[in-house]
Amino acid sequence: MNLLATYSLLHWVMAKEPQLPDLKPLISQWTGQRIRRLDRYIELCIAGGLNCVAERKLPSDTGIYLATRCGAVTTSAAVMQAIVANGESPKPLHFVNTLGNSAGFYLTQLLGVTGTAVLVSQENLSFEAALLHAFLDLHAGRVKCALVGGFDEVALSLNCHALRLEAEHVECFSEGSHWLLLDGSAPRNGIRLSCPFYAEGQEDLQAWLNRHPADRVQTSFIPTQQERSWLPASCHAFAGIPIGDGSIALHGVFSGAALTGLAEVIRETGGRGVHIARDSAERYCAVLIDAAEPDLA
Amino acid sequence: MSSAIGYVAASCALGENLTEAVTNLLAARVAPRPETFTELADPVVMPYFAMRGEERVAEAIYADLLRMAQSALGGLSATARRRTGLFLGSSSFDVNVSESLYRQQLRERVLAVPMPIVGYGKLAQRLGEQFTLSPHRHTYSTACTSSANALLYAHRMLEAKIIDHALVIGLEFFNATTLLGFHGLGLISPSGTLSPFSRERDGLVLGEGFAVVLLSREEQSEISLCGGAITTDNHSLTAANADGSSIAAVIERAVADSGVDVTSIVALKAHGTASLMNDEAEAAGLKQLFPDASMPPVLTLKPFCGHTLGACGVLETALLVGCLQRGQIPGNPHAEVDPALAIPLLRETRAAPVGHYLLNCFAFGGNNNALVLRRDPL
Repeated sequence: MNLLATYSLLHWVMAKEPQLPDLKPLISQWTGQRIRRLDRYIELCIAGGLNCVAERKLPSDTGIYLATRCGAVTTSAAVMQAIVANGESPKPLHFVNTLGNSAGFYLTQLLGVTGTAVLVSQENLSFEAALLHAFLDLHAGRVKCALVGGFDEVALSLNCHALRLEAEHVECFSEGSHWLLLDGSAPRNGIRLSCPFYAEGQEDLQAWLNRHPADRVQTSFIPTQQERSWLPASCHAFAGIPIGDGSIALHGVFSGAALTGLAEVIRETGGRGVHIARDSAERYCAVLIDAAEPDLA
Repeated sequence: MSSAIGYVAASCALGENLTEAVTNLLAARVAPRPETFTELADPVVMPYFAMRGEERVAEAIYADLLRMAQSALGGLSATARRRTGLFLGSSSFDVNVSESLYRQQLRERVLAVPMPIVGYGKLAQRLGEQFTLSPHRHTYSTACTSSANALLYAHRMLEAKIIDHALVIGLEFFNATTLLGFHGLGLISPSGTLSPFSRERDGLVLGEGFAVVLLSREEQSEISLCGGAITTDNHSLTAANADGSSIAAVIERAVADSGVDVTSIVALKAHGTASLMNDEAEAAGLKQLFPDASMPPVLTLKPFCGHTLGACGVLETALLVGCLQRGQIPGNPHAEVDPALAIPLLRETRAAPVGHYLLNCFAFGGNNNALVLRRDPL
């Protein structure tokens, strides 16, 4: 897959002083259309998608591959509160916006694309799952162009957000929207991404890493001591993870921030990089990012 | 490449298992019951196709789902299971459990968190761990096409040889958010009947249910999944374009993806929600592809199990496969066709020919899915 563009938004929200950056300017710079009652989840989707595409004209059958771990939490919570706590019927648009894929509708409408659209989730590997689905369709020639995006929100109030994530004592939460624009045409100069490789565990990943030597190996998580003992010596954790005294809770598609970040580093420096993400059951997913060889599988 | 359908199971208003459900479906036996929401300031009553049993205990439902998955995987060795992906589609996932927990928190006057459980992928991860399946555990959230999309991508991953088997699950359980959400949209049938493509159609009736389908590559079976397609209709968040263009487009792509053309379709299962606009759009789309009298018989399953939303892709596939395995296509003796739509609705159950079957599934968010099954001679 040829990488045409990346875009990533990554916000850190402090528990003591929760503030969410305004996303509207990021949207309004690409569209004059006023859309009614956008919630945070939809804003993250539209802001990320429009800024990744920027001024490009996409083929109408571009595939849209979306990822989220948690979906539209703010709106879903508001609807549930209205019904269960307040005895009210939900407002129609609020109900429709609880659906995981409604955000994608607003984006496809703004982009004017009518091809495949899917929203997939796989806990901490959600972003990689969306990338895999895009790869399948690009590789089979079902789509010529694929927009891959992962987004998860911080749903205020932060007390409730922390309880939902079982992160009551966490001091810092993240939210973000991370995007890749890909095409499946013949390899050319630029960055290529491989099909995501799902490893059953350490041995499986090690064997894959041995077959795919790279200049940079980056994890989207802080490796444990045990993992450090077998990961390549050159392996480092994504620089976007804050290292400090406080505890953090990463959003569900955080690995998308790491992957897009590594792709930009490879674009600047050349060479070959490997992105590694991990799920809660210690299974891994790896993606090769290559600026050098035009014949990646 | 086609994916062999090796195992199907279902539980819904028609019956607790596929055998019972198919028997009742072929006999056109089942009706919705009224569901009352008295906790609202303005109480609401609506028809609903509930699963059998009076008590909706989430643990019991999930235990049944677990048993179904266990049966589906029963014939696979440990090695084969590690080459088995899990594909799950739903519209509301475990919102039913979230609502229960939130009610309990409110009753107990502890800190009450609306929507206390989040994470679409939790159930797939749990099942994947429990059955030691491959790391491919994908969950789809595209409203009513969720599990149809799960089926399609399971097939595509089999085709790409990423996995050898795929356990595909569709599920949708009773919850207030969904029922009242649809009620608020004015889409529920006031008459309490779900009559697709009928002149008297006045909306849909929701239902609950779950189903599993086991797909395998390089295996033979009487019925297989040949392919399908997904397209996006940007017309409206909640309704397909009434001109039928986007529906015709997804069907055209689905048959092409399956290596056939529309003349190969021997019967088609319509999405058929009985909502005014969507039936009009589906009929218009079908007429573009099957002009004049060339349209094969059209069957609908929602009049018997309700619209099970995210589950309907897998549930209705399982029900149709169950009928085809008995050599029959289910008719609906109550079907009355709106002459303006002129769809050849199947009224009488008839013998199922070998050949290709089209399954339509459309969703909020403009997500359209069409799948093609093939029935081979035994």
